[in-house]
Amino acid sequence: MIGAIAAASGFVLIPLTIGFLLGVLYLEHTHLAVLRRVLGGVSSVAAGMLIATGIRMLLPHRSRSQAWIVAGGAIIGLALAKLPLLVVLLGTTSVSIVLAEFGAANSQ
Amino acid sequence: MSDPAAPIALTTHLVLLSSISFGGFPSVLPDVRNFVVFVHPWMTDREFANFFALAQAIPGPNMILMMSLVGWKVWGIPGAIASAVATFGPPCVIYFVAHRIWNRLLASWQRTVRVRLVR
Repeated sequence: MIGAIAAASGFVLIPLTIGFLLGVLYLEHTHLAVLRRVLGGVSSVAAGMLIATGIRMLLPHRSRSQAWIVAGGAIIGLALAKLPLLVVLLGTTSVSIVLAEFGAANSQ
Repeated sequence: MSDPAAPIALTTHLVLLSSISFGGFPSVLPDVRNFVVFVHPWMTDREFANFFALAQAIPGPNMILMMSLVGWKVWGIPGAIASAVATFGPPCVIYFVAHRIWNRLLASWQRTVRVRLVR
């Protein structure tokens, strides 16, 4: 138990402290136009990476129509209908489990 | 922030969100943005985007760092620590407990199977 806590904090604490100090130092100087532009550029890259991660997670399941239904449902619920995350999560996971169960029953 | 309830509200919200952050913390990021930019006027959209960009640009635990910056904005250093713990604590506890329960369930299962096999 103590080992688990020590390992988790050791893994997080040092990079987090360094990162936090760097971040605060950086944010104190956002009045500089150059730094603002750098931040703008980095945030576009980071947003792109996030989208790429989503696509990469979907790719292995591209031949399964159930995956597209669930992913589409989540996108519609969150981005278009602007439903709370918890509602979308509960809805899509239950649909996903039922669909997976159907798929497993059909393939047997 | 002048409102003393702000840090408590933020920490509670982060505990809830981190507990349901399936697929990584970025999946609940829109909800965090909604909470700290629109529900509460703690920061501008621009500042939130800056925190995100910074956290992604610095190596290490990105989302814990980002939430600690959000917490820092709301309540200074204590806010940063509270937000960081609220972000990585609950999932760690869930993994830990789930793993223990899982092992125990599996152990009793194995015993059942063994007993059935022997008799």
